[in-house]
Amino acid sequence: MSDRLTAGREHEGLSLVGLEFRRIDIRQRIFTNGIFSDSIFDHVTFAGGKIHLCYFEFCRFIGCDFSDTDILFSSFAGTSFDDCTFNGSDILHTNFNATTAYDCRFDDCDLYYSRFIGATLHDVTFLDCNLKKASFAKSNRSSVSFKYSNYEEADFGREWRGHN
Amino acid sequence: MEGTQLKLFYHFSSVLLSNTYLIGPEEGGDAILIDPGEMDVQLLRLIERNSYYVRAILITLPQPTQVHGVKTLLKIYDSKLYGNDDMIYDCRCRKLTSGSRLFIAGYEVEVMDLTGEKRGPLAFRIENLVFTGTIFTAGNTIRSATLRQRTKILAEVDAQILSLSDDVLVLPGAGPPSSVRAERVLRENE
Repeated sequence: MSDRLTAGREHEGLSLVGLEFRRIDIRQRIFTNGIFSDSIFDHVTFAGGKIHLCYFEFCRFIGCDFSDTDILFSSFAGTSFDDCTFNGSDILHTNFNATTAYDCRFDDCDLYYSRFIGATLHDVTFLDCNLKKASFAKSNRSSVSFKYSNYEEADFGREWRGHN
Repeated sequence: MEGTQLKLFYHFSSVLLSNTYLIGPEEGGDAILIDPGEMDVQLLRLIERNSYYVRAILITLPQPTQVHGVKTLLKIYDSKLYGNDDMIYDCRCRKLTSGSRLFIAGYEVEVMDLTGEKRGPLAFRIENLVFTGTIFTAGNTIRSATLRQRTKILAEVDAQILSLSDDVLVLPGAGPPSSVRAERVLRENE
């Protein structure tokens, strides 16, 4: 089934639900209007690609590389991320609500208007990010760093008392 | 999105911080615009490059972030306006009532009212898409003036939106997209 992801550079309207993808390199690919929910992505490289208006809800990402990826108006709600990298990516208007992320790096990212409401974040870095209008309300955070980030108009919930 | 002829496009107004949606058949033709907060070159390109003619404009709530682009659009397209009032920006509008179903530009549109208030905000369901405007956005975020109003809206959201099937996509007037399943999980975790 992974050939449906690796074949061609642009994928529009793909619906691949409940599948497993292991050790594939789909860097520089463009995904629009796709639904990939309830799938497992194990060591998949999305680096340098585009993900626009796609649903990756209730998925599992292990050791995946989203570096320098343009993610716009998509939803990863309910998904778990383990040892994933998003460094240098634009992740605008994207839904990470109710996600769990362990050992993940969102360094040098633009996360404008993205939401992590009710997310569980452990050992996650958001270094030098734009967090304008991002929401971390009701999230459970431990060992999370927002160092050097712009959090103007960001929402960290009522419990927020300063830097984590 | 696969297996259906309906195609969904999204436009963000960086001025008004609002989402506009365009839906129409894959091959072009008559299309519906939802909440055109801003009519700019990007939105015009989106419509024209996909060979669409805006036949109808649906308004969830007549506030500038959702309707500011209407006047310009009506100069370009001979569109019908649908919302919660008879007039919007001096333009004739077909007033919709909660629970009604009507065929617009070839699609069945179900009208929902999440507040029960006269001229309150509407939501629209078209196939497996629900357009919720700014009153209900991703993360069970409710925009309300009072706690009482919030409680009432939450009850309506439960009854009208979270009761829909898991694969229904929630497309709000502000912020990122979501789905009924994701919103239900968040509600259960609260």
